[in-house]
Amino acid sequence: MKLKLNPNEIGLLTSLAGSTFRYVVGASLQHELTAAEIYLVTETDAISIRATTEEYKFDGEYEDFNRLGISKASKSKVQRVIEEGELLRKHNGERILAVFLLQDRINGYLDGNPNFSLESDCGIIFQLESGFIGVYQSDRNLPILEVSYSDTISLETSPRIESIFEDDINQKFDYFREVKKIG
Amino acid sequence: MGAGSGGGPSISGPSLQANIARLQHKFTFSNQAGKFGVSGSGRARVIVSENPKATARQFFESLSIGSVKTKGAGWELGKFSDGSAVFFRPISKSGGPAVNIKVKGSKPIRYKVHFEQTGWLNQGDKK
Repeated sequence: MKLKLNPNEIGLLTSLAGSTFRYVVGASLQHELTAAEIYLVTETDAISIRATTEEYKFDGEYEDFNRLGISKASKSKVQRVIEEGELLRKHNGERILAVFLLQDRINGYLDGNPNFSLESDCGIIFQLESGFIGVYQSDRNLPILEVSYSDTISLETSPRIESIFEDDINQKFDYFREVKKIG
Repeated sequence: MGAGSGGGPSISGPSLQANIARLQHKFTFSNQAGKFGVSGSGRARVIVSENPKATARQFFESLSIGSVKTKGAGWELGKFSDGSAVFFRPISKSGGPAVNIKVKGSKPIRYKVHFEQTGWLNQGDKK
């Protein structure tokens, strides 16, 4: 199963490199900086980073899987969200120096035999002049995103994403994570 | 805000835990499992009713009181301030409606409840 951004979505993200960051906003960001849709606004553009879900079979049953989606956002939509949501201005006025994708690959094994695999673009990291802003899936099986701030970028400090995958006596999971610069 | 002084999770404000406690007598609930519904054929729990669609909608609406709600294509989400969440699919690929419950806190738990027509389980029991 592959839950990856398409080339148009990657293009929208890479186009942000070099622009001046203003703020991120989301309808329920006051709840642990999480929301189903988060808007990143620069001096000239606004993009929507949204979580949605798709159903796929896992271990014989349909489960929901979080998929990232990127699109352009209109000023009027952003304005509506500002009125009801939480606006985060940290790094306002700084240039976006680079954009990174957080990519996870998960392999599941039932009694030692491969029975599941997932490749997922699960987060976007924006490098600004004095730090990083990450927008990550906070859960692999629910449409929730989380905003986080950090001074550095590393696999060790990248967020743990909650999920229904739990090792037990029969089922084991291997996790691989990569941070890839896209712009 | 919202942090309790006794070290345990605060449920003074709107919370999924409080909603679950309130609904345990209204919908099928297993004290042993600590979950709504009964065991089904797979991992998911099952609540049977004469009108699964209406029951599932009522279940979601009741469980999500006090949450911030979001709608997507074919789904609805209620998100609480502590990270707990209720997720509703009126029509899931498994057939009928389904509700996912994710409770955070000192005893985190997550599971799915399918809503099925009355009689389905009884027919299975006869086999």
